Amino acid sequence: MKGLMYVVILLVSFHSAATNVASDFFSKPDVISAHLAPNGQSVALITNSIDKPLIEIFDVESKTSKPVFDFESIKKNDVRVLNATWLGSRYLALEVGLEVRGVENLLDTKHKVDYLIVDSYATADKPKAYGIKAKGVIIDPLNADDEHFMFAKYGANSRIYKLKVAKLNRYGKKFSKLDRPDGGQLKKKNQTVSVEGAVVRWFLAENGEVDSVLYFKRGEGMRLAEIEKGEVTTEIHAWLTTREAKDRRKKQARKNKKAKKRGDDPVIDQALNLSDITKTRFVPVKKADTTSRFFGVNLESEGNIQTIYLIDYDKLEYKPVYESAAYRITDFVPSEDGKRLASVNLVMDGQAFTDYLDENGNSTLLSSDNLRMEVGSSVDGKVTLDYVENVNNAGRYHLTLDGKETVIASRYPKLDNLAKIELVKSKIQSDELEVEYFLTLPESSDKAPLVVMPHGGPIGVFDSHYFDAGTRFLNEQGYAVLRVNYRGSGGYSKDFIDAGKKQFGVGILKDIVNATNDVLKRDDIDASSVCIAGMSYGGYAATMLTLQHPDIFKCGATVAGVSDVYLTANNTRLSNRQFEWVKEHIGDADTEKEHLLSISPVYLTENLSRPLLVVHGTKDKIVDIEHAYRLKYVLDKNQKDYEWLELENSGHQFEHESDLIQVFETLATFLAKHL
Amino acid sequence: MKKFIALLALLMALLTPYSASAKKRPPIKLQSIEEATTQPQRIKESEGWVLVHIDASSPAPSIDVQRLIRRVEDANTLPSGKKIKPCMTCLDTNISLKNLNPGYYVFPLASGVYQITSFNVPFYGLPYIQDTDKDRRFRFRVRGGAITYIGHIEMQKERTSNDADIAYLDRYATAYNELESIVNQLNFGQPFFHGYGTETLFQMETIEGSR
Repeated sequence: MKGLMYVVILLVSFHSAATNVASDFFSKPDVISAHLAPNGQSVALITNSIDKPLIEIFDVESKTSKPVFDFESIKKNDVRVLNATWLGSRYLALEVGLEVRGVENLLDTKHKVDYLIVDSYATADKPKAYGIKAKGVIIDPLNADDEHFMFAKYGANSRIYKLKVAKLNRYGKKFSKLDRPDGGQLKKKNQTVSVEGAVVRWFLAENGEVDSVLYFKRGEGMRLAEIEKGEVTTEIHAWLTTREAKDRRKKQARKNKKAKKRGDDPVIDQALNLSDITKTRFVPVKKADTTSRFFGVNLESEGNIQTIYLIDYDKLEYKPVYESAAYRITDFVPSEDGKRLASVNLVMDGQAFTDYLDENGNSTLLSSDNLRMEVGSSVDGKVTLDYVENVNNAGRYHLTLDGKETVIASRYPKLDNLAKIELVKSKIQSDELEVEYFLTLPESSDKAPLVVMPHGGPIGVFDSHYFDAGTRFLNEQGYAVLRVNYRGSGGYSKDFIDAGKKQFGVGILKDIVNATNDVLKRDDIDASSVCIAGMSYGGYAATMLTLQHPDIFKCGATVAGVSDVYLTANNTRLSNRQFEWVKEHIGDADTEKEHLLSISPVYLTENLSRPLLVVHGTKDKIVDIEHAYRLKYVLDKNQKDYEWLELENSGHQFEHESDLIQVFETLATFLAKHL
Repeated sequence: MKKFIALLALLMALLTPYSASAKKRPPIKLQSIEEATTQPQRIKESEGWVLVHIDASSPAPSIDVQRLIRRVEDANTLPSGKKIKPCMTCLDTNISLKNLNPGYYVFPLASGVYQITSFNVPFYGLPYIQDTDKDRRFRFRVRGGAITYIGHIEMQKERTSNDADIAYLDRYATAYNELESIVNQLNFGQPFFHGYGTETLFQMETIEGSR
C-alpha cells in the first residue's frame, strides 16, 4: 500500500513539474539582474521580493546566496533598481529610482534617482548602506580599490573627487548638526579634476583617467575639450551660440541667393549643420578612435528612430552607424580600436538586450539561436558571468569558472523544466522582399494545430526567436506557433522598415499569409486547424485575415487590436509629431480616407464567417476601447459568432499580471474550442 | 498703395478688440441628466442639445469652443481636412467643467460646427492650457432641434507643471446603449445624432447604413 502511495505521489509531482500554468509564464521575473564583482568572488543578484527589490549576494566559492539589503527597510514607494555597479569587491552602488509624490495632485517630482551604496559584507537583518547627497555621477568605480571610487559632482563648476565609501553618510539616516554632507569629503584635497563650467559628460581613457570633457562654459556655450593633468587644455570643438548660429544662417541664406542667381549649387555651412545647438544637436557620448572622433546622438528627436552617429568634430562630418526604430537605446560599447560599435544595449518590453554588431556594423541579434550576453567578467578574466536565453530557456545567468559553467540564477525558476521544443527559422519571398519567420513546434505532435501570432507595432517592432512567454505558453498547450517579421519590422535594415510604410492593411497582411502558406506545406502541421491571434497591430491583422481568409483561418483573436484604422488616423491622444508619423506610416485621414476605410475591419464584418475573440482593456490609451466596441457593435448587428472579454482598468499592455494571465487563459480556452 | 495698407492696418488694429476671438460669451452651465429631466429648459429653434460625457477631476477645468460655421449641413459636404473659416461674428464660449462628477451632461448650443480651441487645466495658481484651435481633430457638430452626442472629455486631476492628461474621444459605440437610454430618459422629443468630428462616419457606415 505504501509503495502504491509513493507511486501516486511521484506521478502527481511529476505531472505538476511538467505542466505549467499561465501564471508561471506571465508573472514578474524572480531575478531582475546579476552583477559580477571585479574579484570574481561574488555576484550581486537583484531579485523581486513581494513588491520591492531585494539584494542578494551569491558567493562563487560556496555557491550560496545571502540577502544583504531589503528595500522594505528604506520605506519608500515604488522603488526600482535602475543600474548596479561594483565599487571594488565589497561595495555595490545601486542607482535607485524612487517615486516622490508632489504636492497634492501635482506630480512634479515624480521620479528621483538616488545612489545607494550597499555593503556586501553586511546581512539583511543588519543592513549597511550609504548614500551620496551631492548631485553627480560615479564615473570610475576604481575596481582595484575596495574602499574608494571617483565621483563627478554636477554644478556651475564641475569637479571630480576621490571618495571613500566608509566616510559617506548612512542612507536614510537623519542628519545631526555635527554630520557633514558626504562625510565632508568634497574638498580640494580629494579633488582630481576641475573644470570651470557645467560638465555634461566626462570621457575616460583606457587607464580610467579623464581625457576629455563636454561642458557649458559660462557665456560661451557648449565646448568639447581635452583634459590633461586635471585641467582643460585643447578645445576640440565649440558649439555655436544662438546669436552666432543666427548670423551664420543669414550669411548662408545670402550666399545661396547669389548662388541661385548664378545657377550654382546651394552652399551648405557644415558648422551650422553640425554644431548649431539650436537646430541639430549632435552630442558626443563615447570616444571613438581619435581625439576628435566620437560616437554620439542627435538630441533633436527624429520621430521613432533612434540613431547612433560617428561624429568627426575636426572635419565637421557625421554618419549614422546604428539605428533602432522601436526599441530604446540605453547604452553602447565601441570596439577596442574605437573604429566601430561593438554592441548596443536596448530595452524591449521592459527587458534589456544587447545587440552585438559584426565587423560591418550589422546587427547579430537575430542571427544566433542562443542569446548569450556577457554581463560581467572578473579583472583577471578567470570568472565570467553570462546571460543566456533561447526558445527553451526563459533566461538564466551562467557563471564560468576555470572553464566550468554553472547556472546560478533563473529569471523564471518555475519555467526551468520546460520541455525542449524545436525552433524553425525560415525565409520567404514576398513582393521581392525577404521575410523571415519563426515557427516553434510543440514537444510531441505528428501534426500540430497552428496558431499564427503577428507582432504588434507594426513599424520597427520585431519578434525575436529567443524566449517569448506568449508563444511558449501556446506551445505548452500543444500548438505550433508561427511568428512573422513582416515588412516594416525592425531588426533587419532601414529599407525593410521603410517597406512597411502605408502597408498596414496591404503588404504586411500579404507577408503573414505567404509565411502561413509556406508553413502549411509542412507534414508536421495540421493545415485544417489554423487560428490567428495577436495584440495591438497583431490583433488588427488577426481580424482582417480571419475576414479575408476563412479558407486558412478557422478562428481569430484580437487583443487590444485596432478595428477602425480611420479612427486610429484621427486619434486625439497623438501629439502633433506622432500625428505626422501616423500620416506617413499608416495613412492620412484627410487625403486617404477611402483607403483607410477599406482596410478597417468594422466596415467589412459582413464577410466574417469564422468566430472571433475580442479582448480589450478599458484604460487602453494606445488603442482606445472604442475600437473593441465598434467591432462588437457590427458583430452583433451582423449576428456573427464572437466572444468578448473586457478588462476593467487594464491598459494596452495589460500591466497587471492577473489581467495578462486572464487574457492568455481566455485565449487558450477559445483556441481549444475551435482547433 | 502704402497709404491704403496703412489704413487697412489701422482698421484691423481698431477692430481687433471686438473680434470674436477676443471676446467670450458668459460660461455655459452644464446640466446633469437628472437636472435636465426634472427641470426641462426651453431652447431657441436654432439651438440643439449637446450631450457629452465628462470625466474631469482637476480643480477648475474648462474648455473653450468657437463656432466655425453655422450650418451643420455645410459640414457634411466638406471634404475632410478642408480649411474652414471661423465664423467672425461668433463669440468664443467657455464651458466650465468644475465640480462635475464623472458622467453625462447636456447643454444648449446654437447649430453649427465647433472647434474646441483650448483645454484649461489650472492647478490653483499654476495654469495649463492646451491649445487645439488649429487642430481639426478637436471639432464637433451641433444640430438645431436635436440632441447631439459630441464625445467624451477627460481631464485628469493628476498633472505635472508642464503637462496634463487630456483627451477628447469618440466613444459612440462604447456608450451606444447608455446613450439610447439617456435620450429616452430626457424625453425631449428630438432626434438624436452623433456629432463628434466633422462627419459621422461610423454612424453613417454602420448604424444608419447610408453608405
